[in-house]
Amino acid sequence: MASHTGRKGAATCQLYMRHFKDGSEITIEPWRAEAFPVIRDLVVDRSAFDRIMQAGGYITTHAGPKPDPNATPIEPEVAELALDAATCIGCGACVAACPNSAAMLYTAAKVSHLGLLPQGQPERYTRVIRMVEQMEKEGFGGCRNYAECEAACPKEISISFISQMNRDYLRASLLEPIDRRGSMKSQ
Amino acid sequence: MELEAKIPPGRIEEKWTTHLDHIRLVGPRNRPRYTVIVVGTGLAGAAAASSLAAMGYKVECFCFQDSPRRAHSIAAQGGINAAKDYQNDGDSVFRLFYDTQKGGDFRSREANVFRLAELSTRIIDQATAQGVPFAREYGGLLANRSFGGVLVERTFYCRGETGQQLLLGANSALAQQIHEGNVQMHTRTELLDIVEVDGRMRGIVVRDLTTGDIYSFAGEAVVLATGGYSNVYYLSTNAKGCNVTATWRAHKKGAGFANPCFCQIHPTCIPAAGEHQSKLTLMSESLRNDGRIWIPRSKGETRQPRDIPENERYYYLEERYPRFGNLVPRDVASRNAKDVCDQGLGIGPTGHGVYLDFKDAIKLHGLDVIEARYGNLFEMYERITNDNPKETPMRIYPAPHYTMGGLWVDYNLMTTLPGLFAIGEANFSDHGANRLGASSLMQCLADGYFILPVTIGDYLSRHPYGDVDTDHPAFKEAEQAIKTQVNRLLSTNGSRSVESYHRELGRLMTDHCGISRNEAGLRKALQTIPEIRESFWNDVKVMGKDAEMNQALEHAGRVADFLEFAELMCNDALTREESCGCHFRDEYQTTEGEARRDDENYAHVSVWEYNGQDQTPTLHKEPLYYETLPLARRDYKA
Ligand SMILES: Cc1cc2nc3c(=O)[nH]c(=O)nc-3n(C[C@H](O)[C@H](O)[C@H](O)COP(=O)(O)OP(=O)(O)OC[C@H]3O[C@@H](n4cnc5c(N)ncnc54)[C@H](O)[C@@H]3O)c2cc1C
Ligand code: SF4
Repeated sequence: MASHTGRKGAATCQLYMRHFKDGSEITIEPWRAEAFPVIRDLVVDRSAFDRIMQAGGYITTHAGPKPDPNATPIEPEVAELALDAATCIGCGACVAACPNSAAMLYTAAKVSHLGLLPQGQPERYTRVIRMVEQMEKEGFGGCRNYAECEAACPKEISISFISQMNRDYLRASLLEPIDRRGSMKSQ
Repeated sequence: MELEAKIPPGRIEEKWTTHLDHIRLVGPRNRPRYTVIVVGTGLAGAAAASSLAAMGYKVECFCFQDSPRRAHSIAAQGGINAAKDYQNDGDSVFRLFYDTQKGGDFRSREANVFRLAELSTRIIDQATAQGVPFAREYGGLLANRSFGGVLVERTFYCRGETGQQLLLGANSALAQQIHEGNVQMHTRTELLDIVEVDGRMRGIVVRDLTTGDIYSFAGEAVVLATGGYSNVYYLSTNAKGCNVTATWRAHKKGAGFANPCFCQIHPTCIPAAGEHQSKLTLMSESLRNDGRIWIPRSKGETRQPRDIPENERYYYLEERYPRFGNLVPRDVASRNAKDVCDQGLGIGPTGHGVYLDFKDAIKLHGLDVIEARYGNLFEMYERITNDNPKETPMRIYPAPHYTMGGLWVDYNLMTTLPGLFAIGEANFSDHGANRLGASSLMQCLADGYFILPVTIGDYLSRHPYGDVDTDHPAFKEAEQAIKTQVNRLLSTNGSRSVESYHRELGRLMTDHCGISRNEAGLRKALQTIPEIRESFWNDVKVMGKDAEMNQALEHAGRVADFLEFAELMCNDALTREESCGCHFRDEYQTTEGEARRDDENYAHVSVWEYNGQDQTPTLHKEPLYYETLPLARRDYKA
């Protein structure tokens, strides 16, 4: 029952016994992926996900005064699409379901959430490069388009975000944006 | 215990800016020399840790979850308030201040509440800049919904997952600071004590929840952003891990605990299905915008809700409160639900339930519109109950949800202990005796982004840095005491599970210190709690070892603290001989059954001082002044 709950849009912890037939056998196992070492029983270490976020999953900003949000109208479809991506809960079911233990769906959801919004544009291309590089460093496998991730995802994140991320990544590699972080204080 | 609130002089509109003009600051060059310990990574903690780090302070940050982004703030569904007046419906900073103060039944500090209302608009600006995808109108501008207890639309939201999105925003800022090396993040690490050196709070003792190691961190100040304590009731809408440990242990070190009995019981939760349930699920209050609450008029009704004709349905909130109807504040809605169920009119297998019906809203707006508004809440409800709310009304009942009480703090958010700060739900907050919906996220973020990062400078600038480290004997002593406690829990080897004690305490508190309280019940609870506590320490069975991941041991430590804390709650409820907000004493009600407040004797914050195990705590009072808003009866009927 690792990630295939057999119910669309449900995490394992959202299943009830009534969802099973009487007498059926339930197999429980921890997420299996090299990048998620088992700590104990069903508990795994998912900090690799956090490090992908730390590498670039943000919009650089500080807590000082900001422009009024209505100064930058955002089409509701765009805001909703960004939210479709942002709704990812970082559970890791996509990784566990993938025969290659790829973290593409997770990373793509995070990249797309910020990359779709006008506020996320300035760092769009440095972000995708940094996050994808970190993802590779963490030892997740490559994507072979099995689409098992999408089927397992409890938040129904669409694999179209992966194509979106790939496009951004390609564009970013061609653009080779200069990441001046470090030489320029980010605040 | 000194209770100096440090409220700045001047007109209420000027207090915060005047304060900022005169407060002492730490200069950018000196900030990296100060280490600030931030415990908690919910909205309050993540906002504070990331903002402090961005300013240049060194931050050590802690949470007990496996990732900072899994703090309980993630569960908030409905939204966050801000006085933007985008809807042009007459909203203003003053009105938000007024609503919050009235909603809290005039039991909070005016100056703090006004500051909160003032900062509310900046939170939306900040969150949007971070990429929080708030709902938008067709024209691309931000959308709003309304929440209970107010007459304007000022709630910003992201479907039914506003907390998750705001937390991702705050956590992305935190992630950046972790990446840049300004924040050292310690996940799966639980605070177990706070360490004082020469009269100042200089560090904490923690347990690594993976290895069981107990060790310390030193710094120049400690910030607690550890959330609320609704789990004292065992069954609540809070995550299973939420606890009172950090604030309770701070209290035992000398921090005043304010208004512990102010606990909000949220009206719209899925009723408990049976004995062994361990958690309740909240259905967002936003549902009350369109759903109508009713029960059958006659007892012993057996028909399906759909078969009960209109004239046999009792829309009790609409009848009793025609102006606010289903949107009365939470405490009023909860009390009325309990009232009708106590009269035997409740529905469902336990009789503890009322209907929340969308039939009329669907007829009026169409299924599409209602789906778009509440689709994911409907799904969640259906997943849990197997009932489809589009076809049959939801069943709901109140459940403990939010705690207005917490560590007492001054205007700078510092507790009565020098160097110990409390923010977010962990402090006694700006919500008085009752919090309005969508106001907690607002307060957590105001505290974390805008208030604490500045006010902490006033304290730090007056003190040296780097003069104490964890080799100091005070740290070793505290570590030893924690080790002793852990050993005691593991070696008791009795016959009862931790869970069974927690459940027993929860039931007692629900019965006697819940939606309504009375003297006899509270006295009974005060007599029973020490008995449960004694049994716990003699007969609890905690499996496993200390040098490993041991969730039973974690739970045992938390329940041990709840067993002490519950007594303080009951003492507080007993000494507050009035009804106000969520604190409803049966003895103090009007002939119509509404809360009867006693401003002459109880217009104060009750702040408790710890005097040692089994000693009666001392009650101190911070008087409340009403300079801007005259005291008014909180009447949602007129
Ligand atoms: C189901 C639900 C729905 C809600 N919906 C809304 C809403 O729509 N609008 C609204 O305004 N409010 C809402 N609230 C209230 C609001 O979500 C909370 O009050 C708020 O998120 C609390 O945030 P916090 O930062 O103070 O604490 P939390 O988010 O609870 O974070 C506490 C942090 O402290 C850490 N911690 C605690 N103890 C220790 C310890 N001993 N050692 C180490 N770390 C520790 C935890 O790991 C965690 O990181 C809702 C609450 C619930 C339960
Ligand atoms: S993409 Fe889906 S499965 Fe993967 S982490 Fe996010 S929510 Fe979980």
